Amino acid sequence: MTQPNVRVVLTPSFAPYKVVILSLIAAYCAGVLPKKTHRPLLATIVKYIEGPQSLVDTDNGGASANPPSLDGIIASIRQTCLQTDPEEGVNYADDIEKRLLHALWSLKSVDSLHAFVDRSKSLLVNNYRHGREIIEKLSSSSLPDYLLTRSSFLGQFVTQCVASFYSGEFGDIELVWNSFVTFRGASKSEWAKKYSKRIPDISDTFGSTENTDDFSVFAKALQSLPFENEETKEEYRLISKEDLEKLVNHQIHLLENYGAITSTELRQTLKLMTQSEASRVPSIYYIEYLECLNEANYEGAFNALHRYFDYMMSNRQTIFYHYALLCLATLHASFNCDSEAIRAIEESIDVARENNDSSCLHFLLSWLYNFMKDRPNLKHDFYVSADQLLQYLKANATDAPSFSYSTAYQSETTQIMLEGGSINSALESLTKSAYLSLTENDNATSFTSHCALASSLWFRTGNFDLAKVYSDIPVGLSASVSQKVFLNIRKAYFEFDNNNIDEAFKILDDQKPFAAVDIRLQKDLVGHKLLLLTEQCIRSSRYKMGELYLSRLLSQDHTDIDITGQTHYLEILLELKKGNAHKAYKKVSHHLSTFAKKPNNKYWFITFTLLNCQILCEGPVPTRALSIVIKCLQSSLRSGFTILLLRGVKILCQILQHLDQDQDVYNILLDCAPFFEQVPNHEIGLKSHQLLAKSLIALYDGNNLLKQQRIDQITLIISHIERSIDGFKKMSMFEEVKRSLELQVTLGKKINHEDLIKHAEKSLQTADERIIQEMAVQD
Amino acid sequence: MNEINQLRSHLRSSISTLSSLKLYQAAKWSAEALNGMKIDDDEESDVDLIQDEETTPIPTIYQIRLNSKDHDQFELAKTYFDCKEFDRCYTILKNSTNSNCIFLKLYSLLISGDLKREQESEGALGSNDLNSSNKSIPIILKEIESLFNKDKSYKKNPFINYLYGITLLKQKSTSLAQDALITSLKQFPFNWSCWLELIHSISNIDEALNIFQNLESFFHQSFPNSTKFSELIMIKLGKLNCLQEFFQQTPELYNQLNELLEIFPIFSFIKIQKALISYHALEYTECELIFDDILTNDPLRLDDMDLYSNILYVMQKRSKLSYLAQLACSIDKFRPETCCIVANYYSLKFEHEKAIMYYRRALVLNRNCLSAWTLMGHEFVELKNTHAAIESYRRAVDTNQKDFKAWYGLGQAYEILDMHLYSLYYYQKACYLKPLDSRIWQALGNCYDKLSKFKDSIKCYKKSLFLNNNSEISKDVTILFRIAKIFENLNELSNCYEFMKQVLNEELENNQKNDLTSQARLWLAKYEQNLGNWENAYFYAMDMNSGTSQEIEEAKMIAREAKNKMNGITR
Repeated sequence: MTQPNVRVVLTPSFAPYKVVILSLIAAYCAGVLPKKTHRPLLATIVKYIEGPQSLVDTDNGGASANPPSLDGIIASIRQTCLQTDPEEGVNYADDIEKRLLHALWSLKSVDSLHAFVDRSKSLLVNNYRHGREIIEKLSSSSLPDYLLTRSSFLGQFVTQCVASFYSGEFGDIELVWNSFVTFRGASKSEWAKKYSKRIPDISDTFGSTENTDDFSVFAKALQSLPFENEETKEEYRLISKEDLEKLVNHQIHLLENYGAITSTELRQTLKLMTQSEASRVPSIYYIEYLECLNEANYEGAFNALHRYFDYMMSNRQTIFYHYALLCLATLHASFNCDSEAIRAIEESIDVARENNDSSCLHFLLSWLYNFMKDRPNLKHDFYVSADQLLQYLKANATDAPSFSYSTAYQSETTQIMLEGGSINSALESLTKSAYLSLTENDNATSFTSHCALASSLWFRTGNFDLAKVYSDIPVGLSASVSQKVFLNIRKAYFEFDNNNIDEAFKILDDQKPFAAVDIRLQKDLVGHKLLLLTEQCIRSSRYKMGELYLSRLLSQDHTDIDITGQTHYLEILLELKKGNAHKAYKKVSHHLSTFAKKPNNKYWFITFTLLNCQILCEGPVPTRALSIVIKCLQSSLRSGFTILLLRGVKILCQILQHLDQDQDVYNILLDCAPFFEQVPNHEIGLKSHQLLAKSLIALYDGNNLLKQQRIDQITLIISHIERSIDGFKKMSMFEEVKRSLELQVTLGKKINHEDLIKHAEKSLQTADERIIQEMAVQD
Repeated sequence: MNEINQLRSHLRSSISTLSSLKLYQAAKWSAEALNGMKIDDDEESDVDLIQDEETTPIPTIYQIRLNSKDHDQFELAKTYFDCKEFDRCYTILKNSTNSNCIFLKLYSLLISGDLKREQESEGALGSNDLNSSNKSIPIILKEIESLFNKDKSYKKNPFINYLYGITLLKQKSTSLAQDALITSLKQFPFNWSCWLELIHSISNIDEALNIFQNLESFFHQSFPNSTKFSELIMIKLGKLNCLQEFFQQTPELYNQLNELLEIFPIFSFIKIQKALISYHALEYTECELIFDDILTNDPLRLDDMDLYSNILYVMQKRSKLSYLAQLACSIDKFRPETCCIVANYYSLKFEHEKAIMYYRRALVLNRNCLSAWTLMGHEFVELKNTHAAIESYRRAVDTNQKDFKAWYGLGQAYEILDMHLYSLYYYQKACYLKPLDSRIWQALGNCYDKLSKFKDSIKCYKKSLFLNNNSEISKDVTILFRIAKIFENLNELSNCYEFMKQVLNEELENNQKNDLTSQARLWLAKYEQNLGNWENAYFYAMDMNSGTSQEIEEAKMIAREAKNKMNGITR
């Protein structure tokens, strides 16, 4: 048999499933069901009246919402019955199901459906007094247990159903009937199997409520219509516009926040809708837009977005134009079409200003700030400085939605961090943002983004523990998938720096299923993984492999400034490790000149400056780097970039060692020891031990020391050397292991300790072998 | 059998002629009639018209003949007409002298004028509806009259006469129109549209009978030696429809119906006439069965199905009516019949606003939809919008002056407004159309009563009672009581006593206890009390157990007094 053609028809409010809910309400009011069934029954009724928000479990990552089905309703009743009473629940559920099916299959014609709605209407009373009057008039046999006031929760639903049913023309009622017949068809076999002596047939569609009437003539007449035969017959699926809008909006929420895949059923409904009446629910195209965006389908997203707003325009007014442009800008930004995004946002701002839509303008500027911060090199003439923009955002946040205030302070914090402002100012803004996001009783979105920002700040300042705490907070909240993935990427970095390499990569691998729904997110995830892999290769001297990873990274176009910054950093570092100091120097100079033009990212500017210092330090005249390093140290200290500070200290010490200022090096390292210990970045900590050992060896003068002092000094040096060797070994940094072993040889020679020299030389040999092995692995 | 073949042949020929002249409805009717005829074995084996004519020479009916130049133009004009380019059709035939071409030219002008009128009036119920008219009518009339004056041969064309008739009808020149239509029918009796227009123009049964008499004698005299079977059958069909419309229930009508059913056993039109005759005779079940049969044989027929819905409405068959509405909607939502069916359904569901909406829709689709105006009037009455009801009824009687329901409705509406003299006029109109309807006589009696014309009122009430008796329904207590009260007002107490007794008898015989019978009982008790007939007074007062408390108390007092009197106790 061929599948009937399905035609989706939109009604303002009525839908076949509402007949089921009305039947349940009628059964409840009539008091035909045992009292114990009332709780589960009402729970189900309320759930379906409240709509899709209550029908899906958002905890599981946002299951897609579907239009209610008869099976679904029955299953829901069964579930709530079992929850209420695990023992008797099955019997209650059976009882309700039987009565429900009986009520549904008793409706045999348009007229009986009409009469059913009439009866539902009779359950309504205007107020309590009206109810009393009715009860007094009716005889006890025809009196229902409950009547519903129009303002009650159930009363409102019944009123709405009745009103929408009566407002329809005959054709609409006929459609309701036809779709209801299709809708209840799912329960046909169940009804026949369990409760009825005969299987419902054609006479149930053309059945009679008046026993003497014969409707076969109408049935035959209808069948003789050319579009009523089995092959061409259309099956109607009636969906209320109200419900569909709720469903679609819910789906949009799911897509935006969780990237949940649209269910097959809803997708089919939407597909059928697009064939006929999509203009009545344009949000369908917004779903398509979001889906295309997640699939990185630029053309599809572009077309769907345009189609969405075209229908929105016809539905409402031109006031939506700037929102349309904002979405367009977001679309372009998502595909890195920066100039198009700028053009769209420019027009959007103009229109918002023209319409005096300050709320939207605020949002637009906030969006613009976030867009521009990742693209410091993009030319624009929106504002003179980011500060000015932030001042505006803060000053006008009262006109905007409640979360805007908090967002404005978050943007300020970001700006302070980017510009390398004082840590105190950054913390002040961040605290304000936290206060606002917690007190404004808004949704968790702004608080989640606050936590992400705080985590990022503490990560930069080297307080990994606090950063971890802030990363963990949003996991418990209903943060969006992208936010959760980014927080977990940060966690992976903590683990990597802590030398828990396997754990770091495991975390990244765990994010794959979440990122799968959004190709852009997937790209970022892959980018971060490649960065860690590259860094790992550089540490373990697998330069070729590192190069390979780097080439993959460089071939990708990332807008995230951290990914691009880190990529270039590793690229230069690799050159340096390979001994191409000149090449590294050229590259670092290039990046520094770029940052010098738009010095709005202090962190990366200092990072590259320190890298430059390191190159200079390894060159013939290390002292050239001295003044630069000191400047970097000052900047890092002010901005609270502890890791950069310690990197600077490391380079400073190296320079001073070249100048034979070992006492100074020793003093500096001693002063900085708590910082080195605090920072869980193993590499820097180990390096400090190495440098300390080198200075101590240089300062060692056995002749002027007593025997015990000599022993103590040597033991201290060896312990520093050994800690560094052990640590670097664990990190597979054999080049650094070699350096530490060389120090051991130097020490052995200085104290004339043959065994120590021999042991160190042997270890050096082993280290060389390991390096060769590592080099071989990558081939 | 030759006569039947002749009829068949004429119908076939008429289909082609009417179709060529774009008289689609008439052509459809002829085709249905042809296919509704008894299937003859000989005919079944050979439907070849030429061969048929060879074997049995049949007198020819009017056929279109054109010379080659006219033919080409005529064909072109026909295609324009089919494409609904009426003005173009008119223009292409503007200078043609052929009578058929002239008919098509003027007919397309008439339709074009109607279309323009619809556009101007913004629909049948639009704001300019009453101010707009078909501007082409004077042009058509002028042209036809000048043609007739110029060349008498044009008078021989039945279709020009038909067109002349319908334009005259639109000008309200009924008598002239009837002449033209009768002339047309004499020349070509197979144009059913012409019959309908003629029947529509007839205002009373005597006039109708005269016209049919006239037509019959014309055919008898004109063709004394030849067979005129087909023509006479057409007259019979027309007469059947006409008598049905005038609510006739004569044995002659039934005979004619059966005779026609012999010839056209499966012709839906005749079945519908039969159903309507049963409907007027209040035989609803019979009527329902006939319509079911029509639907079985012609399942997708919508013509006249609004009448079926009226029957189901009267029978209060909601479910069946809902199915009929479903079926009609599935066939064509935008047919006036469908709208009327759905409106009837809503009326039965007491959703009067929706019913009005659908009646309005029916009227937008066809401003001549006869029943919609009347039924809409009923809905307005239900909604207590009497003024709107009056307008609807007025439009109904303007469209079809034979619609007794509309006249009756007008009477009722004015009665609600306490304008009894007006009301009387409309009831009289209704009564003239349907003199055997007891409801109308009762309404008339009530009107006379209100106008203090008691004698007339009594006559009307008595007539109503008489008709009720004929229909074997128990006597209407209300009428009896009203008559009694009028006699009381006239101080004719003995007459009043008679009728009060009749009221009480209804209670005793048919166990119809109500306020009126109680009042009658009390009145009788008092009457006997005054006459000192204590036994009778006691008899009437004793069983008084319904009515107001005051009445019951009064009856008890009479009973007590009567009992005392009977027991010889004086106060």
